[in-house]
Amino acid sequence: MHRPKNYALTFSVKQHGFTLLEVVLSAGLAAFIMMPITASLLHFNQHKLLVQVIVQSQSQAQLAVAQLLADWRNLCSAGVTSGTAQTIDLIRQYQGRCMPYSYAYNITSHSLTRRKFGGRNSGFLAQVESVDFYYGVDSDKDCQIDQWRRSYQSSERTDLHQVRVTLQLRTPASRQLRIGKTILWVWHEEDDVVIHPADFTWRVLDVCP
Amino acid sequence: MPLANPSIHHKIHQNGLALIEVLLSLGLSSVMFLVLFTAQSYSQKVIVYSQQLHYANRLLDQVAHQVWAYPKHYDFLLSTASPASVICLYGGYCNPVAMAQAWGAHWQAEMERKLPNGQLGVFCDSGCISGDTLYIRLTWQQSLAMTTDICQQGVACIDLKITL
Repeated sequence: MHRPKNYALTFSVKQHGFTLLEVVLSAGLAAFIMMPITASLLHFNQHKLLVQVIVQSQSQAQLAVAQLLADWRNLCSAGVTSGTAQTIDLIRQYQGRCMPYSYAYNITSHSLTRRKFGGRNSGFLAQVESVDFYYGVDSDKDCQIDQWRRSYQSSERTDLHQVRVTLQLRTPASRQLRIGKTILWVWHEEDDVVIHPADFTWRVLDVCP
Repeated sequence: MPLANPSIHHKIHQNGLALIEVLLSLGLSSVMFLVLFTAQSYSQKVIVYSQQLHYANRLLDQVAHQVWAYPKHYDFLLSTASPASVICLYGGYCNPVAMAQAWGAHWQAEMERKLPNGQLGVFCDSGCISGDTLYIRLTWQQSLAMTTDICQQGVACIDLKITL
């Protein structure tokens, strides 16, 4: 290939890179934009987790109370026969017959178990942190509760009017939620659950209508 | 093949963003984030309100049960109880008046502890006699609460009517 003799290859190569100032400024700008984006994403996530836990805990509490009240609705014979702070024995209808049932808190499985007379314990209410019963009894037959006892044994002299159930439930929650303690629940970090109350009062029978 | 014009002149135009464009986009983004945060904060308040309502409803249910337990002593639910009356709820023998007072103090303390400026109200239309209507009302401070027949703006109320 013929090349002219006086051909001068005069390329002036200029490297158009970024100066340090430009890099620093653009990094600063990127950080400035990314910070609120990241903060809002984290906030959104926190908000979503919070809503999930609130909805779950509310529905769990309502269901737990409804489940217990429904189970204790059809009492028969002597009704509640005995009880302690964490157990209650009663007689309820089962397939048209009166059958003794025992309810007790099982700390290892975090559940309230139910046992039919002659049968075995079975899980009745799951995700229970604690349960406490107080028995409102009338011992002078004036149709008014005069003592709230930790234990109860049915007798001729006392009428059981109400049972105060102090129930604490566990709702699984993401570790990211770290909401701590609020007025309505306590965060249990080891198990990643929030513990919330579901107290209710059960009117046993219309002893004095 | 000879080159016609061997000297090459590059004239490079760098079409970056002008300062005004950067500032405008930053301003727009800020407004967008502000709107998002405001919406989310409002949503958070609504959740808190919902939680308060849920709690208040449960409390109201329990108060109603206790009212039924002391049908002749409604008035004492709101009277001042001595600090020692708490024993009535945890094993002590008490007469109906002391028991009603203890419950009243207990609910009032629960309301104050868990709801801002929480108040418990128990009252009747006239005299709390048979056939009368008993009202159990819970009120607390809540900025989202709307004006109703019984409560003003910023005060949340729920009530339960029981025919005696």
